[in-house]
Amino acid sequence: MDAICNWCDALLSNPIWFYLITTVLKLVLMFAVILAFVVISVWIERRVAGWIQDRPGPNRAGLPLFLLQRFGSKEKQPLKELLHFFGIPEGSCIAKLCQWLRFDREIPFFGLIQPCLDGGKLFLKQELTPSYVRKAYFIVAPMLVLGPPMVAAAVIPFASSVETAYGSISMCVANLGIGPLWVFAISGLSVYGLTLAGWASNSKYPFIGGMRATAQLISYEVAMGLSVIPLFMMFGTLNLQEIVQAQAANGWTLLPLWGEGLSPQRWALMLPLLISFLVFVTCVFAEANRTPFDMAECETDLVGGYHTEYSSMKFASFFMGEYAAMVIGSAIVVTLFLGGWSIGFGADAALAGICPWLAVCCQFAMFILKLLAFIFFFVWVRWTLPRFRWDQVMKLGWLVFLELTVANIFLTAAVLYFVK
Amino acid sequence: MFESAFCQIVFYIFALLAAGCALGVVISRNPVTSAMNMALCFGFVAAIFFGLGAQFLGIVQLIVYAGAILVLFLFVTMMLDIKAEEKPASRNCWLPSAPALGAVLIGTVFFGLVSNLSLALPGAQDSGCPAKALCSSIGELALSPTAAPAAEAPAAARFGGALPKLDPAAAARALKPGISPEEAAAATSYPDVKLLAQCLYTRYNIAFVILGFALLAGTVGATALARRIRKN
Amino acid sequence: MAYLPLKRPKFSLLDRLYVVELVKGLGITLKHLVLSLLGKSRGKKDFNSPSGVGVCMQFPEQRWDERLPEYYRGAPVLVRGEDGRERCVSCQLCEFICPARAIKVTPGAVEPSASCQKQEKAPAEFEIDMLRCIYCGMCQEACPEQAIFLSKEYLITLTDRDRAVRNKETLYRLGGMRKGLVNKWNQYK
Repeated sequence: MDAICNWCDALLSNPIWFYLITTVLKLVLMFAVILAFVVISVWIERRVAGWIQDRPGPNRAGLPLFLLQRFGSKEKQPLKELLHFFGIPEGSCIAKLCQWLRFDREIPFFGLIQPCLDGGKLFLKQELTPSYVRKAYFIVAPMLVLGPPMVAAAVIPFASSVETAYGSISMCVANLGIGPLWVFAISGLSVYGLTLAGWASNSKYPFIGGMRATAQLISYEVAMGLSVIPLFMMFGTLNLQEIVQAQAANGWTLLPLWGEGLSPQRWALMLPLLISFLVFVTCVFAEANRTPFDMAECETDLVGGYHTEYSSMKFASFFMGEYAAMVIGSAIVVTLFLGGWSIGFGADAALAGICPWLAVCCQFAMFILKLLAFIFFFVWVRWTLPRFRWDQVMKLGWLVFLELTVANIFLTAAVLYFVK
Repeated sequence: MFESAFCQIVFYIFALLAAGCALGVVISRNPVTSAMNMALCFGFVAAIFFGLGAQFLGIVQLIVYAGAILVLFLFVTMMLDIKAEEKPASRNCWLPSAPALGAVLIGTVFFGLVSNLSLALPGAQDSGCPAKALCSSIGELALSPTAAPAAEAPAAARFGGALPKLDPAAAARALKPGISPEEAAAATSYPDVKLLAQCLYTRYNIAFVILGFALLAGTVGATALARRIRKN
Repeated sequence: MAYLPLKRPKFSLLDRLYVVELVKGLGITLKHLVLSLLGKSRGKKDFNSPSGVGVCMQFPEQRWDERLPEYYRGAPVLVRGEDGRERCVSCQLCEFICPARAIKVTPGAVEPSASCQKQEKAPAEFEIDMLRCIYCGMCQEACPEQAIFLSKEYLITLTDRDRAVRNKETLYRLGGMRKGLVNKWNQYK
């Protein structure tokens, strides 16, 4: 035992091994969170869509206790079968507990199993590659859509840093000095996937879809990059972890209620920051190809858009890539404007004073909560707004947002210079 | 030691990959493949920048070149008739001159590299150095690095014959005058955004602004060309 | 052709800013969401939905059968008259009119034992492929004999493609007897 402890101690004392081990752990956590969120956001989408349209949504798929009926009698007593199967006598504590938890009926679990079943279905579907496509690009395209959002997540901080005996752990996979730019750059690369999918399909509708996706992503990337510049002018840094720390200490970007956030300059900055927020969120919608900007897969004029010719798991990768882009978009909005992992009102420092690991756990939970809330917002907007027309989308991007964001930068500079 | 060796290995791997992709751009017949190779090449160059610590430059390379310009390239190439493009090119009278032109091009680049790099190494300015002898023999052919060896010499001495090494501590000392030595030593990240911005907006400010206007003129010109003039 | 120029509403600056209207829209959808979660959606009582959310009927357990309207178009079936006579005379009009080509009629002679021999023909075989049928009701419209009707059967679930084709026997069994039809052959008996 001691030998193992010593070995671990020696291993962790080496800064390179310490760095490697913590990074791998953080990577695993990040991937797990994103993949889980891709699945969960599909479920949220369908449930919320249902509720908004006065229907329950997918509420059936749950723990399949009904399967047990097949083994035994025709009577609906899956619980008894289950208890019998595990050799638990009736009337025992466990049986009563199961009864109390209503395991005697099927457990729908709010339909949370539905996405898993959907995934299984997509895996088992026939993989059809049309004979007239450009094979190599046809296969590469879905990967190019799914990959970038996963990589872009590397710079998003999900908790504050912790001091351990071996060194400090910053709770984001790569603590780069250029955080948001990394996200923009990498998520901008997913446009290759859409374009190539459209082109390689060798079919008209996917081609138009791919073209639209390209034009839209490029147009909105400009406004997106410009819209966050006021934020960087205010924080004076491009490091996302530092930005969130500043927000934890001095009030969230859109909620400056404590620390230095109560200064007149900070409140005078609210107007430019609100403009930035609106523009940035709209651009995130456009970048994630979500309604009202889902021109690339607008089924009324393009059948299925760029993934018309795809089936089975290749289609699913497009689908997942889109939701992953939505998750990353939400994460970056939360990080930049809504305080990231910070709990707010000075609770971060207080918790860190009690126990740093407790603080990290709470902050992580807070981050997840905010992310969920923003994903809900994404879905909410989708089921509220109709799709824009293509010329409206382009006009909004180039004629409204570009000018607005540039003016906003000057406004911010003026506020920073004149209001002290 | 480990770190620097690792950096060197990564550098050479990405340099080779970038060169390979650049070759792919030229070789492949399919214009879309060429464009994709170019995108990969940009990506690898960005990776080299990252490896050298110039994160901002790398990310700008990705955003501007791979993310925007090349996508527009793809946009246009996809409109081409690929089948016609993929056919072998017909022989024309200029073809025999291609190898000669290529040789001249490669030779020029190679000579530029040799003269630039080797003259910056310590000891290169000695009279016995073959590089010096080679350069000075053709030196009068207006090769600028050889024309001003005196200015390069101190830089060469500073780098000590290796790739310039990033020194976050020195950067921290230089940027914050009142910083304590302990804090400077603890600095781990290199403020490349700040350095780049200072360089661009002070030393090269005028050139930067003029470049901006040149691009603006280009944009206006393109718009004017693209606009359909109505007769009535 | 005369046309009427539409008068577009004039939008105020506030409307054109879009943000206020967007928030209003979000409010409407949120209201629906909350009401449906509370089980207070409009028309909830009529449906008596056990899901507790929204107005959706929980299909396999809860069915709409008794409220199906008279004109409901379900699976097509063949019917017999009150006298038990096969009404189909295999004129094949339904086969010709069927846009999905689901119907296949093999004409044959009337059984010697049948009560009325005047129409001379009766289907030797009558098949409807339920995988092709689109429930349009054209066959019913085209039939001069009131022999084929769209029933109220809507739940056609198959485990096997071969079972999708319904033969004459099945169709008559499903159709059963229908009252109040015109018996135009009776006068020629």
